[in-house]
Amino acid sequence: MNSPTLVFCRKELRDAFRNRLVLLLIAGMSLVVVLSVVVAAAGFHAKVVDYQSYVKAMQSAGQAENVTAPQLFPLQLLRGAIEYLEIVGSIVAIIIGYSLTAKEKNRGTLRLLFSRPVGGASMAAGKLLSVAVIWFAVIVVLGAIMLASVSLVGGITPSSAEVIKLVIALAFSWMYLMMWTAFSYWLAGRARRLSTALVVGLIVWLVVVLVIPQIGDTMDPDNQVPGGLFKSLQVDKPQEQAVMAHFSGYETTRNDLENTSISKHYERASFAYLGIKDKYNQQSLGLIWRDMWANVTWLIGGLAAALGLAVAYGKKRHLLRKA
Amino acid sequence: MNATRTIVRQEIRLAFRERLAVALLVVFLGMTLASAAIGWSSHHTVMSVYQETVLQLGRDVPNPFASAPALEVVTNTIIYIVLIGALLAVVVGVRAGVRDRRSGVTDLVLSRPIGVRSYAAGKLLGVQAWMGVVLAAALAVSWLSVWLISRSPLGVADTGALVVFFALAWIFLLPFSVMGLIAGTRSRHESTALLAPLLIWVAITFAIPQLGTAQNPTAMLNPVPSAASTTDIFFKVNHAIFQPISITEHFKHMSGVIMRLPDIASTAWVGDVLSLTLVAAFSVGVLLLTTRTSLRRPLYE
Amino acid sequence: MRAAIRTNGLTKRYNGKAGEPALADLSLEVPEGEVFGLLGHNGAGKTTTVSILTTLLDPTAGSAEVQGADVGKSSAKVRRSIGYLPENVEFYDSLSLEENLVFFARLSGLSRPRERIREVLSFLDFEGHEKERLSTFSKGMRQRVGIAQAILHKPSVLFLDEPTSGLDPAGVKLLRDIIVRLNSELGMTIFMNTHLLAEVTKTCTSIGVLRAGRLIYHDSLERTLRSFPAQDSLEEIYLHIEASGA
Repeated sequence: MNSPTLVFCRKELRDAFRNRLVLLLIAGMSLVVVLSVVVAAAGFHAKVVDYQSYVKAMQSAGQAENVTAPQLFPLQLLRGAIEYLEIVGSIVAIIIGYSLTAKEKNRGTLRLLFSRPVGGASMAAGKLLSVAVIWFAVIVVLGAIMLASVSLVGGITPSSAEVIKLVIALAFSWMYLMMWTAFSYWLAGRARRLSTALVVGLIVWLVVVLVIPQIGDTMDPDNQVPGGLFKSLQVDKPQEQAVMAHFSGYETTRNDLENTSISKHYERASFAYLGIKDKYNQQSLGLIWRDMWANVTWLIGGLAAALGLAVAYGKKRHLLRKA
Repeated sequence: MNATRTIVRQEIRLAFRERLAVALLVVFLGMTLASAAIGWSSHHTVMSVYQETVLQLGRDVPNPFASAPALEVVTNTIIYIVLIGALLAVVVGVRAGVRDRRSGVTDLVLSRPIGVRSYAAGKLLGVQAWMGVVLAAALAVSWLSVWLISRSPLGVADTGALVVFFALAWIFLLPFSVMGLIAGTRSRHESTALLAPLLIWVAITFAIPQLGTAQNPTAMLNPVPSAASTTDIFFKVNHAIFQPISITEHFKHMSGVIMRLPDIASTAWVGDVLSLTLVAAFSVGVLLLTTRTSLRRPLYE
Repeated sequence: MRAAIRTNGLTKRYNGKAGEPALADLSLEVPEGEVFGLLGHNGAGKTTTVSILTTLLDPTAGSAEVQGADVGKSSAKVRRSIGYLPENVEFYDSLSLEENLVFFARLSGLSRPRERIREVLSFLDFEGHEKERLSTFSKGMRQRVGIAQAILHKPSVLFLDEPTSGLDPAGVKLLRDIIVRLNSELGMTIFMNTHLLAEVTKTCTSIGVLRAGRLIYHDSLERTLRSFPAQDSLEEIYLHIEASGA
């Protein structure tokens, strides 16, 4: 129980609870995530109200209503929450990963820590373990709030299949946040100047989380016209597919570009399991897995690579290069 | 005035020597070029998709791109200014604010016959002059790439529109430079100086607009701004409260008006200009409140 | 002789710090042409004193004049008449020596500074490095950059905060010689904070000792050395004054 890794882990957990910046960041991130669920719920509520007033107006005019009632798929309300974890969660993770190294470098405690008889990788392992615990706790709390919010709004209890899908999406979120934390921890250890590590981390974040997915979206022909190109051309789905078959080279390039962003893999996998992507709504876990295994593999690979780098380069000879 | 001019010149020279600022400039210009290339590639593909559709359907459908404005191929630049331009402004602002404190020069500068306000104004003008250089370069890149893509140079009206768009971008980026400068001249830690304005930017760009529009955060990455999508009172109230400070949305809308993008209401631009100008003026006002005491605070990494 | 520096009841209390002030009731006169060494342990109030005299800090009470100008009311006039070298200043690494000096010269009001920069560098025996960036400079060279920028505008009073801090013995000797020449050849009044008492013996004409914000001793170096015959060195005299309070 007193292995150096656990000693580091316990110290980091205690530190995190006393660190105003870390608490503030996690609270801020959680707030926007929860807020997005509330906003989505309020948006849905507005749709229902609009529909009811429309029905009333039709009835009083003596006409039969021919608009179908808005359908609620509770997990679809989590789209904003996942997007916030993707954008804001990753930046918070970068800051936390950075601060794990920065605080030791700033206080000049690195030499002291490495002068103790502990294994080379135990500091990195202990620190990352503590973050794993923190992100787990955050995800569990957020998951509970999500579940409670969508149940309250929809007035229905999500089915066990839906709960399992939510748990899977939350597990992806944990992996995604851990990956960014470990990446940033590695970066802060490598850089000679801490502020440079932070700026480089932010540039990578900007490119991976925002720029590449944005380019992918912009290149989608259907997104070129407000409301959708094919809708404006009055073309249905089979015809759309027949037309797009002639542009497979362009679509492959677009897809390959999107594949370079790990955030896109996280988004695709989570959207599929939560049924946010219509194609996977109410589908079986097996069917979703058949389409999503590549994305999930990318995500796991990204996490493994980041953790590997963080531990391999978190040793004395790397961190004390010019500490 | 002379002392302010000296600080301005010094800031521009230092920005050119700062590897990070130059790296961000290269990234920004690269993205401007990429924006044109992406615009061209998607435009070209969509036209082919349209022709293929007409061919397969065997009937004529209206060409959705028949009346596309000339500047449409560079619309992605709007979003790169919101993303990369803002980050560039923050980083350059923070570095300018922190530099003298880090090298211990602040006391020396303040011991010269120059007021704190002239010093702060000089720094801001220097940073904004640097941003002007960046935007002028991006303007040239955009103009040349539209020429290359459409195989004819832009007309006077479109060139004018492009110049006005980059001038608007300069005003839009000003509060971000100022935030960087304020954080750089006041924070105790260089890292906090970078993080504080960055988090405010994340809030302004991704969190605040959703409260008034019910849009998802990735919708904010669309160069075309999101409209208030519902008549619900919750969103109406939020929209009224948060709209004035949603400067990224104002910038996107105003840019759409300038570039004559389709589906942009060209009437409501006065609010955009007012909001962007007021936020810029307010931020400059706050910067000018800088005191000797805050400048002389010790700085840690 | 006219006083270059005069303080009257100068007191500084930092915001939110209860208890003893950082500087208490300092009344001091440094005549023109002196090399004055302000001595004291860490935290005695030496840097606070220099900060007030260079107009960087406002005093809580009392007044101070440099060359007859009040540091509060005529701060711009004071700044024009002084040169200052703070402790551990690093300047701009990415700029050359000349670019650094042009910047500070312009801030000090010199519109065509290059000729003056050549003069100053020649005086400091520091020519030939104008185009080199400061990132390649040693600590000793940087300290000469510091002195150069401080005298570009021909100030009448020069403030030096721990000027020999971090220098090797050769650097210390070089700087000491420069300080002596600035005083004897250019007639500058020099106000210096220092810990190195050996340097004080070789450069200063008068000394003051601060203890916990209060001036407990002030006299010429010559008289000081004569007044304490029982002590072998200035170091012992200083420790005696510090311990006894006079």
